[in-house]
Amino acid sequence: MRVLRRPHRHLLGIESLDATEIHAILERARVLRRLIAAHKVPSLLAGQTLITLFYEASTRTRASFEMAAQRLGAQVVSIASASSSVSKGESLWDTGRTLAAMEPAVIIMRHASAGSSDLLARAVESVSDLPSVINAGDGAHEHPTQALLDTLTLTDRLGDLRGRTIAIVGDIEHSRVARSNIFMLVKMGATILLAGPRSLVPVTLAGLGQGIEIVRNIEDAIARADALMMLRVQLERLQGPPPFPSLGDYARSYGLNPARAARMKPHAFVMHPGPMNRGIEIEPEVADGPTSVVAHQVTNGIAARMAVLERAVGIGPWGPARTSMPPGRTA
Amino acid sequence: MRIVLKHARLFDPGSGLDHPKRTVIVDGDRIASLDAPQDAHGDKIVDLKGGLLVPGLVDLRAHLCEPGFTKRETIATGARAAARGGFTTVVMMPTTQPTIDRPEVVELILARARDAGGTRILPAGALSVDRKGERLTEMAQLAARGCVAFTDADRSVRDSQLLRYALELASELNLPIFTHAEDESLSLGGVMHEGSVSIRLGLAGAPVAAETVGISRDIALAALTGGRLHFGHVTTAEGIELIRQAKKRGIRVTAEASPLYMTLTHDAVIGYQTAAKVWPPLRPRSDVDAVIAGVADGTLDAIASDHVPQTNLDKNMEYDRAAFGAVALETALSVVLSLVREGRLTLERAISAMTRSPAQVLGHSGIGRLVEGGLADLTAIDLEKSWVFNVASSASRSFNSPILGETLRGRAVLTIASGEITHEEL
Repeated sequence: MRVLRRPHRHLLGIESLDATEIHAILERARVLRRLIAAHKVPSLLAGQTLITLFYEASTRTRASFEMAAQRLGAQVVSIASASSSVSKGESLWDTGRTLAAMEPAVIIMRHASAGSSDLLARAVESVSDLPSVINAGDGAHEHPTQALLDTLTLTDRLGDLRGRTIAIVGDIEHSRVARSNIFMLVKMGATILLAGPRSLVPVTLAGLGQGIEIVRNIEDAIARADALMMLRVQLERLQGPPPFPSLGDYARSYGLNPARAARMKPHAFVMHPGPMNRGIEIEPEVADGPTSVVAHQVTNGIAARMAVLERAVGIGPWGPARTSMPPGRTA
Repeated sequence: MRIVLKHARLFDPGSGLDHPKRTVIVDGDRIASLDAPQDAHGDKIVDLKGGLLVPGLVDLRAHLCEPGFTKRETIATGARAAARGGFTTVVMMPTTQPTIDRPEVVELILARARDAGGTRILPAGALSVDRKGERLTEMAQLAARGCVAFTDADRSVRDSQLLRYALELASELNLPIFTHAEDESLSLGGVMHEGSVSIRLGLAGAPVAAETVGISRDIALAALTGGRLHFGHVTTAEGIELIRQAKKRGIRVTAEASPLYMTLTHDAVIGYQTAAKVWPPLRPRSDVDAVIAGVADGTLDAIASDHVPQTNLDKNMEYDRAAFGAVALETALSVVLSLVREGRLTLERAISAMTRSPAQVLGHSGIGRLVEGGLADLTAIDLEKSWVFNVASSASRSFNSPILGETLRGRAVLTIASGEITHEEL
């Protein structure tokens, strides 16, 4: 087994990732996508063991990571919180130290608490210099691989995102997908329109970076956007009274229905990170219609996560065998 | 024991004293002289070399966790930490298990405090039974055993009628009600200040309005009842303004600041630092400045430590699940002195806010000032002494603090409570 002693190469969020790193991951994802199509993916992670540690239910993210790992030849050990020592009350700190002592190459975690992946990274570092931590979603904080696959999808259609206008619509306050995409699009130089009710799209969001506009009228956002990212209302993260009268009322005010979709720019398209609440933030005719790139997003997720795994392990463009500097790394 | 303190800069804003090079004599539990000859004899002679000698510091808000949570703190360790911080009197919050809602608990606490020796521990009784906010405790019974105030500590009293009754009953006992002003429906689920940092970190925030709505309601009830209402740990500019106006109208309210909220902003939470997870939450710079200004102009009468010990186990976890609170008994004075050095507070106001003013909040005339024949509670301060607040030197059982490991300047070098030396590090 190739055990590469190296500094941890975590992926905890987009905010802490610099633009050259992002471009390196995206470029590698594009290469991997071509290799997948040609059935020529090298088993660069053969002999490596990855752990997926999911404290929250997930369908697509977990499957996507595990497929990405398998395509690269890695072994995956899956830990679902319900069947693990978590249900016996073990702290995340202790779980992290225990798993790190087993020296897997990567630990991929989803957790309901914002900042939990930072905590896991600290726990891992206190034991071993081996595993890298990949954040697969930490509470309402970040979901960096989603932003990477979304950016791959956006650039497939739009090329350079500088000067482009991307609208994110819905429950932005509670969305880790929105946060990662906002940090990402700021770094990409795009104009970001955030649309939704005041209770879910607070004005403080405009302070997250350059080029962010809060738009209360969804019609305005739709008319201006080159791409629309529709988000789910995360009722499970809310405490107290509901922040809007009813889901029907929300759908009428902010849902993307065919009539609204008809006012999109001719080249504009619709994205959704899933899971979709059909009939609430998006109508089925739009979700499954010609402007939807949802399936493309999912496909891109595999390539983006393969690139992220290579980076986490320190192989491929990030490997020591290469004589030239890998893209995005500085001496 | 007779203690002679030589070359002291006698400094007591409450009595209007500021004299360099005085010799002070402590005899038994009393101050025998504030102006004795330099060659006075005693069992112990201490040369303060011109250092500051002030009334023993009075703390209005500390959680000492015993009985019930002795893994965090005990009365003995809390009393030692207080002494190291220059405090001679500590009002203990009823965040115990059982809470301080029956005479037996008061007696147990006072017995433990006697065993611990030195530091005067004054229990604050619970306002409501089990601090549930449903019905009043037997305040007269608790007062007779030694409770000096009534409060549900870190819980706001949701039922306005209950708080009204509490103010009325406490008035009859001539004791203050301490409140933690918060509208809990606005702060529901909040784990930090709602603002530019919470939105970035994806953490649920509590808005400033959660505090100001609470303060407004409580002022209205103080006006209605004429009772003595004391606001604990006020953290917002708007809340301070409400209190300023209430005082102008003659409503009997007092208020306190805590050192953490005078120095740290919500930026301290960045990186999901659970050491900075406190309640009320750390606020933006403009609020921090307003708290300092509020202390400076006396709107905030007192500075209280707001000492909240938590174990490492309860802090070293996911931010949203970690316990609230920070220890502060040993660092409070140093933090306040740093503001004096920066010119944000006068030394006079700083010392007054930690001695005379909190004594007045309690209505306790025997502490918080230096009087010949009065209680010998004294604290000597070295304004320049540098020290590092670390685990090894801490007397507290817990060391959850956002300033752990920092080098601080200025500290208590000698603490005398009721004539007994409780801390000496000259």
